[in-house]
Amino acid sequence: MNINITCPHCQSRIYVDPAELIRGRQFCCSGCAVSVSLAVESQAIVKQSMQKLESMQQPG
Amino acid sequence: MAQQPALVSMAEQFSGLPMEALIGAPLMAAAKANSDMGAAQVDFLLKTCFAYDKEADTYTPTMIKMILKRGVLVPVDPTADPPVDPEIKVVETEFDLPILTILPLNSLAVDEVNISFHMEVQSSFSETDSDERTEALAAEASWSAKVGLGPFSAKVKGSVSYNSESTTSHETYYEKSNSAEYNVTVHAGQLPLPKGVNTIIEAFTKAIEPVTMPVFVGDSPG
Ligand SMILES: [Zn+2]
Repeated sequence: MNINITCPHCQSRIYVDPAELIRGRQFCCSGCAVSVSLAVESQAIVKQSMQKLESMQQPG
Repeated sequence: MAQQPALVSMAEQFSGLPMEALIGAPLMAAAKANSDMGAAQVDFLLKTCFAYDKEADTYTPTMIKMILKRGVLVPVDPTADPPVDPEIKVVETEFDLPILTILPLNSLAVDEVNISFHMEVQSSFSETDSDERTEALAAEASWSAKVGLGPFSAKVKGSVSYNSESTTSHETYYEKSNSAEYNVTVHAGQLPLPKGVNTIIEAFTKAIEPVTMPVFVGDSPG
């Protein structure tokens, strides 16, 4: 599931796939030429949080 | 001819059913499941997306570091000899983002509860149609004789009777069944994020001040 964050440069929406973000993928802003990615030092905490979220959303 | 017995009335059968419990219980279970899931989500939000300061009793959003890259056109020195081509340099900027804004939070909730009935009522009838006939035949013959001997005379009277009895009976076994269904289907799906949580996320997102680092291109600040 994609989420969107606001581009700090032009305030447009940047659509981000969190799973891909953890893998280091860059996402381009639709309004300007910037691209965003997750810093290496934050990859672990995002991965951990995503796993917790997925286990919580597992029905049953 | 023996009359066919009527089937058990379904209305009567249902009138004895605890309908409130049958319909109410799954609904209550769904509501409770929703409430549990909501509580789990709040717990997740607070534990994963915030750091709790026990002393100050405050929650501080957990931040993650993002890297923003953009191309910057490097100014060309017009006096350069030989002339140089303009160059695009990729500049990296770091900015912090609350982790809350990048997690795909959606409310997981029971969004559909179907209750249908499956009830099997079997009514059977054992009808003893006893077709009893009793035949009694009685035949009576009587005779009398006078026996005389001397001064004695005696009258003897006798009788013979015939009695006949016959019995027949038959049994009819009659069975029919009615059935009704009771199924409960509960479906849980993703619901859009509650407005309140959305507002919080929006507030966080808007609070991200773009921190633009001074871009140095060569010796001059861009
Ligand atoms: Zn942009």
